[in-house]
Amino acid sequence: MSDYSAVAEQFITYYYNTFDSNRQGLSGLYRPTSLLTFESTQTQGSADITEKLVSLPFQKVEHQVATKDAQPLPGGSGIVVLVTGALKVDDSPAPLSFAQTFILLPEGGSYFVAHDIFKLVYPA
Amino acid sequence: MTGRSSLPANLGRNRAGGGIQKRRQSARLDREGDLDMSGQAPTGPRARPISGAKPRPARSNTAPGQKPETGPSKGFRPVRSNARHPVGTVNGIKQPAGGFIEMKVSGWKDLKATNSETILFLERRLKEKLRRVRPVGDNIMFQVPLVKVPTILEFDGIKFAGGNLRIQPVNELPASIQAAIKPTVDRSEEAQQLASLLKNVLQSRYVAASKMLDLSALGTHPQLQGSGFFDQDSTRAKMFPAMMKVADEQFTNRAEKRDSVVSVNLASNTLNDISMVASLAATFPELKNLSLENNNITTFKQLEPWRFKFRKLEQLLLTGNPITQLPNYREDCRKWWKSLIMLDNVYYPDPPPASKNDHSAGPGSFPPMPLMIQPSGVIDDQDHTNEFLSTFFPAFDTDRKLCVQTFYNNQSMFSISVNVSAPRLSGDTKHNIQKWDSYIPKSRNMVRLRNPTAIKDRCAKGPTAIQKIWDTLPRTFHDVTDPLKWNYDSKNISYEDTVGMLLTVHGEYEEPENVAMEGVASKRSFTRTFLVVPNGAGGYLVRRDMLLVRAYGGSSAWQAETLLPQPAAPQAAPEQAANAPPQQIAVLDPKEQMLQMIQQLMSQTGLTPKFAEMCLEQTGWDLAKAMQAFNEATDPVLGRCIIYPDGCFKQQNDNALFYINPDGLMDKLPNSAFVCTNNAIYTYQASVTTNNTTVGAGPEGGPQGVVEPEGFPTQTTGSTVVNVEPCVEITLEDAPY
Repeated sequence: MSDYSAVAEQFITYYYNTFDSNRQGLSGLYRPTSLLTFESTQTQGSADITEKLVSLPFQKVEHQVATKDAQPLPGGSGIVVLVTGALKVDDSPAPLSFAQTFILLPEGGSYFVAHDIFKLVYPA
Repeated sequence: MTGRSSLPANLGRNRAGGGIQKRRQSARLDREGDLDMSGQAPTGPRARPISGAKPRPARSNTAPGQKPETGPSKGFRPVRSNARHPVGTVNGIKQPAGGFIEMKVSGWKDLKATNSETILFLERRLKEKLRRVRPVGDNIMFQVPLVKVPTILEFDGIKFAGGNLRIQPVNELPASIQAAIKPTVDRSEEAQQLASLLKNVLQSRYVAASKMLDLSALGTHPQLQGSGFFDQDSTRAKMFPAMMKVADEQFTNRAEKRDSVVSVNLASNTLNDISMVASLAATFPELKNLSLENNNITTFKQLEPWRFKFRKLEQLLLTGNPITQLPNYREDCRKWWKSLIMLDNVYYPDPPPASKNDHSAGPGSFPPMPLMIQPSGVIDDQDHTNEFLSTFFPAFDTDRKLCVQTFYNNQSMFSISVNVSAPRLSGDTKHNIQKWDSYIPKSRNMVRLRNPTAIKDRCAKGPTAIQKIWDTLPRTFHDVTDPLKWNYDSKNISYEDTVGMLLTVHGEYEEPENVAMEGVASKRSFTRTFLVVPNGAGGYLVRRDMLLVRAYGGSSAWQAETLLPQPAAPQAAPEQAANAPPQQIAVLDPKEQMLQMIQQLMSQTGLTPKFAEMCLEQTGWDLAKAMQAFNEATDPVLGRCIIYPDGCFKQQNDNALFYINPDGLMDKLPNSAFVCTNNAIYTYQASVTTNNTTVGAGPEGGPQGVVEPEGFPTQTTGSTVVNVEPCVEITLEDAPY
């Protein structure tokens, strides 16, 4: 685990690019045990999570990452990631502020998202 | 034992020995109160024979000149000869019409004052000499002329030696006297003003969202402060029972009380005991959360009236009272209130015994605890989460060194990042501060920080390194008592050898030493992610801690979830469909949907987020109805205001709120009213009211009121002037949402 921060950065870039361009493409990041908490609803498993993300009722979405931080998890192989930023949905003029926490765990030579906790944190 | 020497200190023994009880007399002896003074056997047929009772000393001990009717009490009170009203009970003196009635006074027994002092005090205050004074059980019995009863009852609840004396008739009063009592109270203008005032205070202190009656620090409440209730103990002693009574009157039945008030906060009222508020247990017997924080309760005796009351009490706060120092304090509390789950924000290790009637009790299904952090996300392990959060943040605030030693070990990591681009809560310049000097040097935001060495260095590992960063950060205050300020998710997490909780917490804190504006402590919003594992000793170990600080953005982003019942999917109003871009109708989830509706209403009405949310809430999250309500609620007198079932909000640029006595506006507004003007009242927040304040507004175009130096708007340009009194300004935070 020499460079967890680099892994985290790669992950963040990939995650939000994919989210903003092709949500379906996120399915590979999750496993059957993965948990997504989107606002106050919880979804488990890659298929359901992907469905949830895809079904979010907006056409265009753009994440603007303002902060990112990461720490290696105890045991040395996982990573905890905290991201905050703004979310522009469709043509809505006011971006929404969000905070998102990920738990990334290794699998084979790569990582998957064990936990994904998303929250809007500012009154629109 | 002589009448003179048998001083109050002996009372307890006397009671135990029954020597005084022996003289308990039936009313039959009223007119001949002296008869038994000789200490001979009771003469009345209804008098109880008490075995082993010793005859009282003969009256020959009475000092020369002493009025004979003091005889019965001479065992426990000094001889007096200066009673102002030598009630005509002595033989030969005419008796007052209606005869005498037996009264009793209680409430002194836990106090330091002796019986004789109590009686002397009473006589002084009542300006009435008490006949046949004697202790019976926990009471002092005495007799007074019937005609004096109404006067004497006015002193019921009088403050004495740190407690309140309960003065009651022993038997039911004759109807004639009852009639004399009731009108006296009702007619009293003062009493009505008092009731009205207390009702106002209650309404302003009711937090609907958490169903909490916040009666904390009433001494500083602007309305009460001006009223003189806290000027002296005696008036204060009246205020609390009156407040309890008014509170009781707000509800028609027990279910209504239970559904409306879950928590009561009596913190910081300098209570020495709870006698003044004892009736709370009768009014809200099913209370779940109770705070007596920062009072002066030293022993369980002072809580006695509530012993075994509040049978559903789950959370009690007594921190800041000397009683918490008693040995076995926690155990004893649990004995008195068996349903307690948590005391002073610390859980009892074992759940309370299951109650047959209470389905909500029991581990795993803890009810909401409005006095502390309240979850609104997904919570896997409620009790551990609550316990950790409610112990961690106070520790972090008060003693970071201790905090790091308690919760962190050599493997623990901490890092902080700052989001300087997050929006501030619009309109709130008071708390907001956009200076980040004290945070930036430690910020590990990898969007900005590109140097790998710096990235590595700014992740602190181990207590020493963590403490070093913490030392550079401003002091903080996280209010764990206000559930509305918090939101968190808690996940059980397990991988490899690690089993613990993943917590993401969203909230706010103050920086007590950092002043934003107007002397108000600045606020920040934060998100903090913890990985917490058991420390092996019953506590918690923070393995990972990531703190994100941003500008203060308020908490309404998640209040929508906690406050609102899950709304029916909002109907897109026709107007909305016509006016809004189509893609905005298709919104995210209900929460997101609501946020967007709030935004739309804001843009169409100029309402602030909070008020827009309230308006939507009141109209069932129907934007069209909300708009309609907004327009229709424009009051011709007060200008633009939105009237809610329980009050009125007039919103103007979020600058100020006025609480208006409902009496003054009964014709115009239902019940209570909140009015917000567009003047710079902000600086007068929480100022004290004056009477006869005039609030008015032009009939068209909203209020053009002027803020007077006292902080009250007056308006004379309009055709109608509404007289309002009293008018108290309250802060946004005080508003009941």
